[in-house]
Formats: sequence, structure tokens, C-alpha cells
Amino acid sequence: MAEKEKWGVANIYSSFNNTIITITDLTGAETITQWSGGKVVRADRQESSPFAAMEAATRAADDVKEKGIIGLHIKVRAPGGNGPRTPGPGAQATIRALARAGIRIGKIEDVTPIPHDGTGRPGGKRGRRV
Amino acid sequence: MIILITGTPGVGKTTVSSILVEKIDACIVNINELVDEKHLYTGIDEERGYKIVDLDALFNEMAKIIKNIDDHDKHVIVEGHLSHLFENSDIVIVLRANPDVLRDRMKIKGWKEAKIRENIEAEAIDICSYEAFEIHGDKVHEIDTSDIRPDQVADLIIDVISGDKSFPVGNVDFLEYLK
Ligand SMILES: Nc1ncnc2c1ncn2[C@@H]1O[C@H](COP(=O)(O)OP(=O)(O)O)[C@@H](O)[C@H]1O
Ligand SMILES: [Mg+2]
Repeated sequence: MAEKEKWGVANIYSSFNNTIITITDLTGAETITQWSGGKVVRADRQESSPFAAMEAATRAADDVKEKGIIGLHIKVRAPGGNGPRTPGPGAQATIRALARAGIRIGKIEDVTPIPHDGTGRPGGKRGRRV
Repeated sequence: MIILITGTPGVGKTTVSSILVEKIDACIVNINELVDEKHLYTGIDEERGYKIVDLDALFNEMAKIIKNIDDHDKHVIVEGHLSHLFENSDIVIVLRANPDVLRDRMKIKGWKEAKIRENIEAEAIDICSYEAFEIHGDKVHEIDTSDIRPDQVADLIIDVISGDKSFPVGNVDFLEYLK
């Protein structure tokens, strides 16, 4: 008997030092699991490595598979990526690790916040598909 | 020296810059005022209600202002949350505040919750310092203003300018606040 395929949402927050991945149900109301690079590697300087981000994603994938979730839509919040020096763990490594762990990847949206007061930068559409 | 002061809206850039000019020989360029005065925007972001800055026009204007300062000993302070996108700098200061503190500072401005929330997320994922580092590298210093007064922040900036203190990017981390 085929069960109904269950999907969730992975919110990826990537900063200079660390990455947090929070997985919720489709409504966003219930958090299923949360992992950060800092939680999987204790050494302070290593939490920003892509290794830490990928490790966090792998643990998160294990948790959601246990709950019967087969696929994840992705919402990425991550700065930068255009300059000559791109630091940090990056969201891309996280997404690749989820896929490698056997999770199906659905819609990927860039919902990176935009700093604004009375002014702001161009290109400020939230929820761009990437 | 060209000193760019950036940071998420509400961290205290304008307040600190106005104290700084009383302590050092400098002139201030306030980006928000410049954008208004010279109409350096292409339209309005309908969702958030901000003026969409014409970055090329802004950077041209900034370059012109800097070129026209004939006193070469005078520092130029450019303050605004887009200042770090200007490629010409000697020092870039990113002012930081932890999200709880930043929320209080933004509330004083009477901003709506959606605007506060988006700016807090921007602060927590290091947008300004991350971008500043991508463009300016080791010229960038991050100062956590959460627990100090504006005049103390100004003094720390003076210490950075004189080379007495250094606050490399990565020394401030507020990502945990998003949990
Ligand atoms: N270090 C500080 N401690 C306490 N309050 C501050 C500090 N710096 C700024 N503020 C207050 O926070 C608010 C926002 O400051 P402002 O200079 O307008 O920020 P910005 O120019 O970065 O948007 C103001 O009410 C200001 O008085
Ligand atoms: Mg200001």
C-alpha cells in the first residue's frame, strides 16, 4: 500500500561563521529538526567550514527520513557570493548534502532578507526561484 | 582616508558618525540624504516601501564628492547601509548589534514588525559584513555596539583608524538568535 508522499521545508541560514538548517512541515508551523554547523563540530573555527554545513545537513536528513519525509522544498537565506573573496560554508554545500543523503529536492527559493530603511538596493524580490 | 561606515539599519551609523566628526578632522557623506537630495533612485520597492537606489549614480556622486575635497588630510566618512558596496576605501567599519538590542533601536524609529523582522534576519546572517569582506577584505572591521554607548563606539573607530585596535570580520556572530 503506497503511503502518501510526505514533504517538508528546509530553511537554510548561512552566515560568515556558521550555517543553521531548520526543517519544518509544509505549513512552517511545526519544526521537525534543527542542526547547525556549530553543533556538529565543536572547534570554534571549524563551524564555518563547508564540512560542518554538510555534516549538519546529513544529520537533518537522517532525522526527516525517520519521520517518513521523502522530499524538501528549500528556502535559502545567505548573503554574498559575488565578490572575489567568498567566505563561509555556503548554502550550496548544504543543499548538495541533502540530495546526496537521498532526499528529493523540490522548489529552491532565495528569500535572503534585504537591509532597508528609507532606501534599499535594487533586485529586492523575495522568493526568487534559483 | 576614506572611511566607510556600514551596518544594518538601526545599528547607530548616523549617531556614531555625528559624534565622530566632532572628534576628528572629517566630513560626512550620509548616503540616505545624498540619495534624496540628488534623486539617486530608480523607483520604489512596492513590497517594502523603500527608494530603490541607483547604485551606479550613487557611486559616481560619491567619487565626485571625494575628488572635490582639496584638504588631503581630511578624512571622508561615508555612512549608510550601502556604503560598503563602494569599492574605494581605506577602512570599512561594520557596526553590529545583537538582534534584541537592534529591535529596540528600530522600535524607536517606529518601524513596522515586517520591516524590523527582515532587518534583524539581515543582521543575524551578517549581510553587511559578509559583503564588505567580499569587496574590501582585511580593511573591514566589525564592532559590536550592543553593550556600549555611541561615544564609546566612536572612540573604538578612532582606535581602528590610528591602527591601535583591530576587529576582524568574523568576531561577531548572531546567527544563534534565529533559532
Ligand atoms: N550604541 C548605542 N547605544 C544605544 N542606543 C544607540 C546606540 N547607537 C545608536 N543608538 C540609537 O539607536 C537608534 C538608531 O540609530 P541611528 O544612528 O539612526 O542608526 P542608523 O543610522 O544605523 O540607522 C537611535 O535612536 C540612536 O539613538
Ligand atoms: Mg542612519
